[in-house]
Amino acid sequence: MTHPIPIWPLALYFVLVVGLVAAMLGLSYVLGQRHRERATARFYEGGIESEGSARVRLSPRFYLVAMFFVIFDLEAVFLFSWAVAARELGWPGYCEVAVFAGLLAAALVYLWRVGALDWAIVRRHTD
Amino acid sequence: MNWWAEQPNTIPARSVEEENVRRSVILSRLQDLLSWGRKNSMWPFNFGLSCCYVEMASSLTSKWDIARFGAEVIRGTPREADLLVVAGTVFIKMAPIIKQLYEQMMEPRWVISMGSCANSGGMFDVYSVVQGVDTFLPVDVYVQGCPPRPDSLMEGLLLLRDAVGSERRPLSWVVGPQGTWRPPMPDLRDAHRPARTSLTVLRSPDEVK
Amino acid sequence: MIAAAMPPVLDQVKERFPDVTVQPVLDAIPTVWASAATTHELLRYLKHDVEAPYRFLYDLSAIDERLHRNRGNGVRSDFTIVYHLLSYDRNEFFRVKTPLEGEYPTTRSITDVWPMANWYEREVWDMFGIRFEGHPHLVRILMPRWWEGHPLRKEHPSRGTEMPRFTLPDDKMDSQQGQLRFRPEDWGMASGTEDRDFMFLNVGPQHPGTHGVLRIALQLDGETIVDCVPDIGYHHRATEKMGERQTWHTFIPYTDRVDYLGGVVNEMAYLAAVEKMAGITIPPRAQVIRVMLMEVFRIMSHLVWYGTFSQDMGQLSPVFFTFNDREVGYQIIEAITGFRMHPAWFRIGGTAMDLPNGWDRLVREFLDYMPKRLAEYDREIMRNGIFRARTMGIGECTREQAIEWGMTGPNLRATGFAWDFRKAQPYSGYEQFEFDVPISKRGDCYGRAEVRVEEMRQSLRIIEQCLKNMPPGPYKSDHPLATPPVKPRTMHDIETLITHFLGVSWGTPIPPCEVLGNIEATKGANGYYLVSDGSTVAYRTRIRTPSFAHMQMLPLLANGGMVPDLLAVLGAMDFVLADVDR
Repeated sequence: MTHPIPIWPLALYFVLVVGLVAAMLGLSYVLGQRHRERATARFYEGGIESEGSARVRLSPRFYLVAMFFVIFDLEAVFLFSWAVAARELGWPGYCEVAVFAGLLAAALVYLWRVGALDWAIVRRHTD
Repeated sequence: MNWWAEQPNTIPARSVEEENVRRSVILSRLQDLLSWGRKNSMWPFNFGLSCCYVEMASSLTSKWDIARFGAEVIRGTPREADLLVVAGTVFIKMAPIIKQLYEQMMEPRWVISMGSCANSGGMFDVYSVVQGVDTFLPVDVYVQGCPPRPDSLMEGLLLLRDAVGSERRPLSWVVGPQGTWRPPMPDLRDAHRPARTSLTVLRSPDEVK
Repeated sequence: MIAAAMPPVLDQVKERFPDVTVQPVLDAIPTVWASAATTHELLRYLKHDVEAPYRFLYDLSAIDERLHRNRGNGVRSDFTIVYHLLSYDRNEFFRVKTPLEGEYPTTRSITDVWPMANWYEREVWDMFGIRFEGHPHLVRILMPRWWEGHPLRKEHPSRGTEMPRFTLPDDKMDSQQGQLRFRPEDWGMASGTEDRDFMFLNVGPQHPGTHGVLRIALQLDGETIVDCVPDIGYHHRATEKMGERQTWHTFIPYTDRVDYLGGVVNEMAYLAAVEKMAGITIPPRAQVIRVMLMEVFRIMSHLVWYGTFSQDMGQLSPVFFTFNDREVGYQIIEAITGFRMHPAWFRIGGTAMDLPNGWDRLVREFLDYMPKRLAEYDREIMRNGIFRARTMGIGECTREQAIEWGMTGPNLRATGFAWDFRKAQPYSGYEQFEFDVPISKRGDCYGRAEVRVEEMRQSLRIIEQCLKNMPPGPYKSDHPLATPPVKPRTMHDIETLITHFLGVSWGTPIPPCEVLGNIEATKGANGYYLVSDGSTVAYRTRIRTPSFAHMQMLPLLANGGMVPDLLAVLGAMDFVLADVDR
């Protein structure tokens, strides 16, 4: 029978970490000088007042990039889970995951060609 | 000119020795350590108004190199900067912006007024120029010149460093004595006068050194 | 330029517009007075219909004539709008003057003929209170929005000490900051489309990338710039008003500080006009000294541009190297003129003093040192992959757009147009020097960089020729209006002593006339339009700077790009804020 792994070092480590973080935050809170003038808490934007908010409805391009990342990231998760059991799954498993990766590669090529991966808008000269 | 908005010396004027005697030894040693640390890493704010900024930038580069004094880390945002060098003419349109930037700087902060225009309006006694940045900001060191040579700016910076090294600032805003004490600033014109009045033979401009 | 084969333009103009009057002027620029009703048509005619048309609106400014004595023309005018046009094909300027009467007159805007007149008319409104009907958005440009009064009018106080003492209490600060806030609806900007909102971001006034106190209000769609509005005036130092207060001689240090990297180049622009007015011929030695110093300052200005541009593109080292090279150049400047940045060394009639012994050694060292440095920067900067990726294809403009919007200097040459005023209208002996005018066909930021780099090499060539062929002789003219006169003469007889005394204490009286002096400054075409009424002080000093026109082009160059491309465009444009706002 194996020895049970003692839990107290982990607990001690946890306490030390919490203590260190609390000390750092706490000391930096109380040390030093403070001043509060009228502009101190305002946003910094080159010394001038900002116009409008930064919490605006952004262009859908940002959303698209995030979605593509999630999709291809999940593909990687599936590939990792196949890789863990690759020997057990043998050649049939390899063929299946190759089909899976090939479909996703085709999707990638489609996105590339249709311009969904282009970030910058190509400029036209208007005059 | 004493027109600034806040008074740095909220403790009555005392000499360095009196000040040391008043505080306890440990506290004053600790404050010395902190002042030494502050003095050797004063980070300027990336703020240039006019021609003096080019000479300030020259002082950052290799030949003059204020990095030797720990001042090469220029910060782009006032929250991280210690030193505001008002390099150039203070325009009336820019005045509220400079004030806003100064208010957004965190303590400890210092101001060097660089160049004639920032000191007093300089040669621009015109409707659009504020006649001296000390009409609305407290200034620690005035560096004269139009523009000051990079070594003049470095001399001003060294003066400020010496002053900062002897400063007493509160360790915490929660407990302890509040208020900043600063030693009186020397007037270099009087300090240099004996050497300057003894210069009777000046180099002719017709020969290259 | 086959200017001789063109029919004289004044005859054509008088034929088409019989009611204009021609004014003979000293600088041989065809000058006509046209009434407010005729001016618009006349300008359109000159821009489109005349042969070898005047496509470039060089300058648009105004003069407050209410105190003007000795005008030399019989035209009644309280305010005069002055239009300067340039025809590249003819290589000739044309001046149209429109007299206006009344305390706050109104005239028709020419923004439908030249869109670039937009900022110039805003400046005239700001400085004089003259309204332009048909202007898209006539608001102040140099003075803050809350300013009352129009500074270049003769009744407006000139000195800061004549005005109430400056204070900045909290309420004043709040109200001024509120007025500085950008209002997109004022500029016709939508706040969003139906599926997304735009973010409005201020770049500046304090920003490392704007190289000074410039504020650009961006309308952003994500990271892409939909539109941008450059807001200038944060660097307005009233140099033109100062010109009405300083004598012809004591104004020279103020010219230094207009393009503060250019040093003596600014002085040359001013003196090109003054010496024409005074009728002074500059002796050859003074000319060559001037050319040599101007080319040294051209290299110095381009080195600042080079280092800071590469720093904007992300390279942190080259700025240190280029500033070190500037120190080598400063050895020359300091030895000759005594100061580094603002030498104030040229004088009316020549230079302040002769070259010191040993100047050739310093120049030789500089000439031996620089080519290797430029070769290194070619490797480090111009062939760097990231630099190229960030500048090629960015900020493109065609030659027609450049001429339409008043681009001059290296920016214009980057569109493939080999125009350099040093070759086209030589001054100070430039016609005797051998140098090429570099161009680039690219028209983008990289092209502008290429042109400036090659310009530095050509400047070295010119300095080499100055070094080899420095003529002996006087460094200042003997003309009575040369200021200050050469000292030995004043010790000889009472007449020259009196002239010297009056010239130094009271000022040099320049005879009544008006002259445009234009040179190829480091940033582009820099011109001083000076009006004298016979006194020791200029009546009107108009400074036409290249960076003002370039800054107006910013939306054209940066719209549609991303925010980092804006920084590339700003860097490649090579402006100096004092040049924009004066």
